[in-house]
Amino acid sequence: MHHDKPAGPTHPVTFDLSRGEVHLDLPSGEDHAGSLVVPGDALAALAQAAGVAAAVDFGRALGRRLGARVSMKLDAQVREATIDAVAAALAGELAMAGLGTLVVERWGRALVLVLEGGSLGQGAAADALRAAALEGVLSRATGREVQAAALARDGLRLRVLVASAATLGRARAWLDEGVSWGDVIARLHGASRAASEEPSA
Amino acid sequence: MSAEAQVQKLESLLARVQHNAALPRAPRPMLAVAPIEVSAPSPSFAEDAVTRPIVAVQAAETVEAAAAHVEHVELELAQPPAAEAVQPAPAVEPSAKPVSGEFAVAAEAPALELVEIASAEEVRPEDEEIVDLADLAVDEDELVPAEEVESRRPEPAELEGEAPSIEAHETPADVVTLEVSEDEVSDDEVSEVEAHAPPESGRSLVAAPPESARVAVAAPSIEEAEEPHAIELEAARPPSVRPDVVPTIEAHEVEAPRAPSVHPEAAPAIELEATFAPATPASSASPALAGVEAHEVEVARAPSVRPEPTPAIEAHEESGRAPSVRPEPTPAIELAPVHAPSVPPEPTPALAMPEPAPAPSPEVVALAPAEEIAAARPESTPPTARPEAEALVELVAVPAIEAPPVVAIAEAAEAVVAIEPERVVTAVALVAPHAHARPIEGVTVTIEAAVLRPEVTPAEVVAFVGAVRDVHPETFGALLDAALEL
Repeated sequence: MHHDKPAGPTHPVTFDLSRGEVHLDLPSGEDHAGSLVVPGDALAALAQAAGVAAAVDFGRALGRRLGARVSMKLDAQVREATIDAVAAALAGELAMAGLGTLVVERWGRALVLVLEGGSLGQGAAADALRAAALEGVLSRATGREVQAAALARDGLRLRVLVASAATLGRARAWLDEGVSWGDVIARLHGASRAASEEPSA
Repeated sequence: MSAEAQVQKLESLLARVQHNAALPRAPRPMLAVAPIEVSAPSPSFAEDAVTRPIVAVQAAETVEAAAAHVEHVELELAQPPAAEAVQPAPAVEPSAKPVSGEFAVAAEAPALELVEIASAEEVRPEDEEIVDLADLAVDEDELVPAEEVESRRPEPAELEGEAPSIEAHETPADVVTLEVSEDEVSDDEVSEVEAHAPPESGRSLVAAPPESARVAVAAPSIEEAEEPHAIELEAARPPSVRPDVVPTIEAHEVEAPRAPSVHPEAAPAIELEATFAPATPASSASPALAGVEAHEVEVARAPSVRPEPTPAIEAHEESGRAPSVRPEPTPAIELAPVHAPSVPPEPTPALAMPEPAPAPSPEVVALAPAEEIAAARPESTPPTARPEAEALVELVAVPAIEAPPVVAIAEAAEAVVAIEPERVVTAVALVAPHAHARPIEGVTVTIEAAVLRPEVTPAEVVAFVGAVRDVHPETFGALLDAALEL
């Protein structure tokens, strides 16, 4: 089943003024506690103070909420949907949460998500939160656990590599060595091809 | 005045002192002795009562202190005659009890009534008399505690009948009575409210699909819409109408930017600035862009949507070009398995490519020797520094000296022809940031190798071009699986 029509947020947020609550339109039971509208810089400061690990946990939880909405919009057929439809749904949800605009990039076989702008403040912890949010979105929407890590930041644009845990480990090691993100992607492809040619040789 | 009369007068004064001492006063260190007025003067005192109806006695801490320190008692003579003096006091104000522990002079007080203290202005000096309390020979046995004296004091309740009462209805300014009569609210009014405020007519936050990147808030249609706009969410307070008709703000699709029950004349729709501009995935630019643009037009026609241009929906190319540049329908960027540790693959956008120098052959990929290229362009070259067109010409001329390896495109003809030339161009740009490729007639590709990385061989370029065919995920699941298997 392919969803060619881009899915957009319908009835995404409900502001219940009588109770002072904000609710996301989530599958039943997933938003029983409601949501909050939080200043982005305050959240970034909190993430910075809490540390990267806590920020990752928070971002993953945040992303899973959004991923549930993506799955709902696409009738739980995210994997079968077209790339366009999924990209549009992801972008809509992330933008509505204030996490910025989303661009899906394909570098060979590598999947790179680019977040640009958004209300969340800057900082290493904030970037970790963003990457974790993308990780949570994809994991929840597709039903497959994925890993994501910040690849590079270029001004307001943050590139996040989506890959397996092992691949991300290699990428992190190269990044720590000072390898540029483009070369990291190239190396990943080279390593992958070498690994695939070894059995045949 | 005879001595006996003076004794009686002094006794009377002493009785007044005792009585006044028993009167409760505000707590203060001095023993308070309230003035009294003779309401029923004794026959023996009737004569003086006419001219001396009011007696003001200064107080002392104790009776002993009074006897020791008070040397005279000022007799204040009031002006009103006796007939006026016997009138009941206009107001009675119970005083506080005296300070405990102090003693007041207790005596058999005559039936006296309280009167107000006359002002000092009314005192005539010629009527004053000096009384020495030391001569009164007060017996300490006659002293009783203040509490006991207090018990002898007439109750305020007994005096209330004489004082005019002040009732609440006489001070309408202080008493505000809100009376709500059920008859005032007719059924018609109630039904009218309900008619104008259906549950969904409260405040509607209308959110557009991601492509429109707009969120509009429709004004409430209820009758109190003239209130200073409660639509502002920050200042939104619970409306005064029935809670079941107002408080919910719901988001609606952009196709219905206003809630159905919203009266257009009540208040214009308030639109929130676009908070998101969903980007079209760059992986498949042309179909997505077409869909997005069509939706933009649809949004622009919506009545409540601001006619300003919608936020830019840009499909960023993988090369990371400027966001404002709407990319060509560039398909997925495929990456060759290159080994380039030093120079990042700064992709060259196809749109920004300068006109290439004349190629040796339209179907030949000319590659310079790696050693010479490396010597000509050190690796310290900033990856983003793109050589000018003139430099390209020079560099092309240099490596042609020693039999540059020429890879005929025919070797990979099958691979190249199977894919779009634009993809090849982009792919080459990825592999060789300083090389330029140009599609010719949509089928063949010329690649100018200005500067190629030493480790990239022509065979790898061809192999990469051929490998582009392998990744064509049509679904997001396939794309994700390929990424996870990388």
